[in-house]
Amino acid sequence: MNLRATAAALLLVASLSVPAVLAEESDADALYARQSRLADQLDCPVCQGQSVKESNAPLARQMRALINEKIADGASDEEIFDFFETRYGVGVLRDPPKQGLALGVWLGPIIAAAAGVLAVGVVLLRRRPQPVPTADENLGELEARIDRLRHPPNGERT
Amino acid sequence: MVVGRMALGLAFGVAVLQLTMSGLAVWRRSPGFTDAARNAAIVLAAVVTIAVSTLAAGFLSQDFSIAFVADTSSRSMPLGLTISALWGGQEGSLLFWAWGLSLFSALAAWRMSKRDDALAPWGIGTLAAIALFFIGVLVFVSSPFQRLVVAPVDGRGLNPLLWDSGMQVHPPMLLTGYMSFTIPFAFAVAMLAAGRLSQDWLREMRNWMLVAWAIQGAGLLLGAWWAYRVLGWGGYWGWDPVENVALLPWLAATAYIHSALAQERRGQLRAWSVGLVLLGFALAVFGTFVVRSGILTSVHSFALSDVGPIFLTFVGIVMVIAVLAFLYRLPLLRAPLPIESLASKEAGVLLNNLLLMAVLVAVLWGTVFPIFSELVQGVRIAVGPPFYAQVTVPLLLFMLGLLGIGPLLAWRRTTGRAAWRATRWPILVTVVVSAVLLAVGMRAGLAVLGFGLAALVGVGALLEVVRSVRARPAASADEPRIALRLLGSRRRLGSNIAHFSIAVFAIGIVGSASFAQESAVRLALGESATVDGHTVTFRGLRPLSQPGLTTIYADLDVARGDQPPARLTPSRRIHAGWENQPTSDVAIRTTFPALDDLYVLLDEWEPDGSVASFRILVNPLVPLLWVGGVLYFIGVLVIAWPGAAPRRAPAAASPARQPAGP
Repeated sequence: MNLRATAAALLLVASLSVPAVLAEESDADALYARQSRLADQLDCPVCQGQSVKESNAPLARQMRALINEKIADGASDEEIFDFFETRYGVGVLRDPPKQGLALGVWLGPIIAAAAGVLAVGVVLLRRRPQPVPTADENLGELEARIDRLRHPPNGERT
Repeated sequence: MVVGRMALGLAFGVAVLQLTMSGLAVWRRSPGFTDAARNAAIVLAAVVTIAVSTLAAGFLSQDFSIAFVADTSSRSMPLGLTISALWGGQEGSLLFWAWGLSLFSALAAWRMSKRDDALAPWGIGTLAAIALFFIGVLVFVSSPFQRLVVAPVDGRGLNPLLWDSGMQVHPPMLLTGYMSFTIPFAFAVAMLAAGRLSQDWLREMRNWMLVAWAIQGAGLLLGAWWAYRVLGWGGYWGWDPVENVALLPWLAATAYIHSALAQERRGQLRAWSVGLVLLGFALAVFGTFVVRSGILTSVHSFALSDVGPIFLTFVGIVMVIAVLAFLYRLPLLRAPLPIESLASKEAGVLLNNLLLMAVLVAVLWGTVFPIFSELVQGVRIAVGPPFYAQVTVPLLLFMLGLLGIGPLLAWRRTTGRAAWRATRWPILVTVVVSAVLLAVGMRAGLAVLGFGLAALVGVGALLEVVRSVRARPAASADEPRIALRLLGSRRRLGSNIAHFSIAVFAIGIVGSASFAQESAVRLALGESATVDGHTVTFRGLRPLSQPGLTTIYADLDVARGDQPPARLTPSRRIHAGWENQPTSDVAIRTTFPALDDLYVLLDEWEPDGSVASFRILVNPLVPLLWVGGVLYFIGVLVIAWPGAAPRRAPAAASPARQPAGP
């Protein structure tokens, strides 16, 4: 179920790019759009938590230029990511690959969500519903009253 | 600065005293000691206030013999910025944290001591222990009053990125937010330690949690607003580790605010609610730790330091104690009534909590995973926005749908027919909105879904307001006015405003995430570029030199069909001593009624000023984020305004007059 949810999410995210593809764009705009999309998926190795797209560091500028070169050479997105991964290691990819150790980051939330659903299900099932005589009165209010009778507030102490 | 040092030393002593008195009050069961501990808390607030004032005076008098002042301020900084340099580094922000805590603690201790003899000493003692830790760090490890042997002529000054009005509001708000999770935590610990739940305390705890929730939310929003205006990539949220850890306690608090409702109305989810309060505090201290330790790389990394391990130890010890107490008292927290039906408000609350926890776990896991992977394999795997978007977007959409339906359901159980009658209008509106959006040619599936669900939430909240007015018959002929009837159910009104703000917020996020246009242009003098209908013409560069600071302004004329032409001046600041970090001031123009932001960043320029390159973005609907934020705050204010709570008072007074003992 969680896998399916993830797949649906991926589909949804993918459908986001549809208008970008459909829109009429000049070559320069298209090139820039692709460059900045790729740069946004790469972590600037010398910056603090910024992508290659966002950063103004000299290395990030070089990397953007490199992306442009690769695009001009006709490289695919995959090839460009591979190029940077061999150069700077897997840590350069902001979208962690779904394999190897990085798979853990994807599995973590799925396992946790499954455990949560399971725990709630167990709790709900174990307590079989029983008719409760109290109608709609506010239980908290009742308890508050009992509480006050048992432990009078400070001001009233004798 | 002798005064400051002495004040901090004294504060340490007073905190020890407060802790001791609380201990005696528990041991001897004597309210006299409780009062003494409360008085110590009030004195502590006064003493820490003196310490903060001393440091502020050091900034105002530019006393660079204080290391912290020399480190974070300089003569070229304007006054408003100099004041905010107080939280511009570790020592000062810890002092600010401790100051806020001492003020909140004094108020909380005062309220605790008025309420419950058995619980108060535990609560005041917990507050004392936490204050003791922070003041201890300030006295022994990281003193803001450290002196330099030779006072420099001028200070180093703040990082140029922080030279912004955002610096005056975002850090203090977020520090206060983190800090304020301490107070509900102390209430919870007191109940666990004493082994008794008190409705009065549960309510007081919820009110404090509301305060923390609102302040943390405001801090996050101000951070988003600042990032949007300054960082220059057109975004307001980057899933940066420091942003993430600030979001975590807010998520826990959001879950708590809802589970506390089920707790209050139906006595359900008690253990869970108390657990969330503990979790909120743990995450708040964890957040402070992450900002201060530099363990994660972040755009906030100007805040690095070495007190991290101390924080980690502290949060570890506190949490072990809290969790043990929690487990030991679990029988006490069992719900008296089971959840009866899945089509009920409490089941909705449960699902809401489940979804919030899923987001929380995913964000926490993604944030710490780089450290984890480095420990396991020596490789720091980057976890960036693509991960968070893929994991949280479906959860958030699901949550929007639930937010539209859940509040309209009844408590306990609902028949299918009644549920449909309660929810049919919002659902119908959602279907119509989505169909219209598809019909006018919107093809981004996520956007159609997002806007549709936002409509569901918005219409649902409005409908709830109408229903709550209708459901309250005018008490008498004197009270016929709608305004009064609305105020009669302030909590309900406030929560509906908050829910409506989420709808507004969601529209802003969906719009800006789905339809932003971006373009990079290189313009010669007099040349124009057009982005999404906005024509931008380059009119020239204007350098402006001040002592210690050079600013390059770019003059741009912008025009768009029906809108009057306007002038935008994005700029770059180059600060003396920080030449390698030119800082950008983005120019933003909001167009009405389209609610587009035209967002222009000066990128590079030829030295002779003939050519400059710009990044131009058109961000649709971003202003709705700020509108939603203001609405959120108004909603929480309406809920939390003092005096709203009790509907019961007079009946209780007479039996309470009886003697306390048997």
